[in-house]
Amino acid sequence: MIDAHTPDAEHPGTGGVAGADPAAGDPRVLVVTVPADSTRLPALRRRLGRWLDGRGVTGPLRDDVVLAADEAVANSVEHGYRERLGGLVGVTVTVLEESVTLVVVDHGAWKPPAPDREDARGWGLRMVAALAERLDVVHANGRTTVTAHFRRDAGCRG
Amino acid sequence: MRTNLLTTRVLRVGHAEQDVVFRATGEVDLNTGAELDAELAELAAQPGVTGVVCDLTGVGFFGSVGLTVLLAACDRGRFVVVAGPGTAAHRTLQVSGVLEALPVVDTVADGLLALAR
Repeated sequence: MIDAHTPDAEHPGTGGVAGADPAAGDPRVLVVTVPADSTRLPALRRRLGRWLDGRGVTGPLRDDVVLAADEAVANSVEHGYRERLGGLVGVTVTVLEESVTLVVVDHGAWKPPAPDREDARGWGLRMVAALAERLDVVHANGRTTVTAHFRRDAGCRG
Repeated sequence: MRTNLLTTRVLRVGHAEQDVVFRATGEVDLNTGAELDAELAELAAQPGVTGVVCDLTGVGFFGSVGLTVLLAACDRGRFVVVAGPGTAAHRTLQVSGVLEALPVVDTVADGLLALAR
């Protein structure tokens, strides 16, 4: 089975958080691999929401992270794997004292973003960018990695 | 594709020309966006419907796919969205900047008033 979020030197699965190794079963890290299939999105949203609740990430920030995850995975489903069946999307969420990091990885086809297009396809990652404090999208080694950083300081949210 | 994720209801449809309230509950995402779009298009095409108040208060998840649906509905005719602060739809409209591009109000009563103006 393809592991869609195998960490490597450039793109650690936890978004570069030192000491939080998903393989070690760290309770601060959620690692999920889902088929690139839109029908999996509702269950993923619920699972992620419950998991965040259990780590004290509640209220608007929890909702924002769930929305961002949905948009990023939907983007992989719609763009990365549009012409291929059987693709996988890796989702890693790391909750630390002051931050939440979301990493979504797919091995699909890379399409440069079209920021001018005022349609849903152009909206997904722009939504993630607007929700997060910082967004990095990297295409390398045949995979696309979307990393969104959120601050756990509610006072700083727009 | 019909799913059980989204439920919609049209209120106040009579025989006379009038504005109607369209109420959606559930989740608007990649699975249900097309369904919402089709229902709003069908409603707009009904004779006698002069305007639509689209109540999204009961929508618990509102993904960006819904933005395209709302903008298309707004292009079809008189259309007001009910999505007060704190609702999922409000957050998505706010974050995307579409809040400024659409008539968005807090209550159905405000929506009907906005159409009557």
